[in-house]
Amino acid sequence: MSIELEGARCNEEAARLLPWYMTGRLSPADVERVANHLQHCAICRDDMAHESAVRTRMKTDSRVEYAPQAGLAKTLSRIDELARDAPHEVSPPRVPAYRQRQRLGAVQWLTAAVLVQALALAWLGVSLRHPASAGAAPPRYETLSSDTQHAPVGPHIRAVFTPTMTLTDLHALLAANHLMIVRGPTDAGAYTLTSTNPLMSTAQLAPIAEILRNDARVLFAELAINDAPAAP
Amino acid sequence: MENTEFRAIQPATVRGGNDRERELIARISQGDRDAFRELYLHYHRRLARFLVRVTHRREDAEDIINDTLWIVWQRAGEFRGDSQVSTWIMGIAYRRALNMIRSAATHERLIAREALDSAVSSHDAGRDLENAQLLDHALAQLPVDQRLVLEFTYYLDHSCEEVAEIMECPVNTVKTRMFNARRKLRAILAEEPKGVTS
Repeated sequence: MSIELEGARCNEEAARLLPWYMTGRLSPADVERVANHLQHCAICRDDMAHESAVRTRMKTDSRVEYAPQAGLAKTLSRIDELARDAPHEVSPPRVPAYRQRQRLGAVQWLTAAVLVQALALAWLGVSLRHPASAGAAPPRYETLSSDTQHAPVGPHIRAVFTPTMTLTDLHALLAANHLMIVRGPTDAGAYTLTSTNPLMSTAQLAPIAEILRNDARVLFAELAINDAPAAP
Repeated sequence: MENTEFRAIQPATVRGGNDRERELIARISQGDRDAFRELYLHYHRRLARFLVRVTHRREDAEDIINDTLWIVWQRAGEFRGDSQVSTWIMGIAYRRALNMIRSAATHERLIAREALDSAVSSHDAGRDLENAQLLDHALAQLPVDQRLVLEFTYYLDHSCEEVAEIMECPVNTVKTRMFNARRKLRAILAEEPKGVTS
């Protein structure tokens, strides 16, 4: 350290930038400005040497020991406690704000897509309400309990039995409930059953359908009525 | 704070590190514990040296580190991305440290006095340790804001703009604090029996 410069002071702006010149954290323009100043300012050159020694001493301080694991475990435990205390708390997604901005464009695109979907749904609703105007014929499909073309007129039961049911058991079940097979099996394995009593009403057949449904060997049993005339 | 000038002079290693840290923050915002663990271990070393230097108490430093990274876990989703991750985290740590330093000012002076006594009386201590303790003693006599500007600049290598962002003050204030800190530090060290720079 120069004795004659002790206490001397340079008040130029470049002198205020010396620390960051030394650490390499100045813009190129400021680096040039300070470098030019140092060429003709002995006070700042002396300052520079002094500050460099201070910085070196600070940077080489090795008295601190590192033991992060205990603190990390403590903080993770704190995080677990937070999760336990508020497991059902509804909070907005914790997405960084800068990522939210990036998503704004995607939101606008999605808004347009939702609008198109709404229009399509409106058109579909009108079509269903006025099928004739849409020029579409009623759809034709069948379920296990629909056999309008081949089912007998009057109350009957559509039933599906387990594949393991023996013929003997089937006959016994039908006999016990005064039923007989009038059609089936269909491709789906469904049988059409009617009462052996031709005068049995729908109300009288309903409890029998319920008995079948409660039988473990019966997969499906549904009461049905075919009021339509038989197919020509 | 607009800081385009600083960003233009960032070295590539700093930019790369910031990208990685941004990625970690994004994952932490989704509750990713592995990402938090990585960020914690990275910042523990950086914060520990800085905080032990400014608080002189390892326990206080550990508390501030844990509080700081706890806040990072809770507020990762609020990180705006306008600043660097390191500046954001150091800003949190700075405010916690400032509160602790101010509330423990009396204790701080006592520690500094003990450090000086130890440095002067210990004939067996190495010259480096003596010098480090003398410097600590000199730094402890600076106003907190001036001392922290020195630590952020010389110890953590932050730019003037970054320090302003961390301390939430104008860039000119940082320059003034630094200028005054250097003058005062030099005057204090000149009075010591063995100068740090000798």
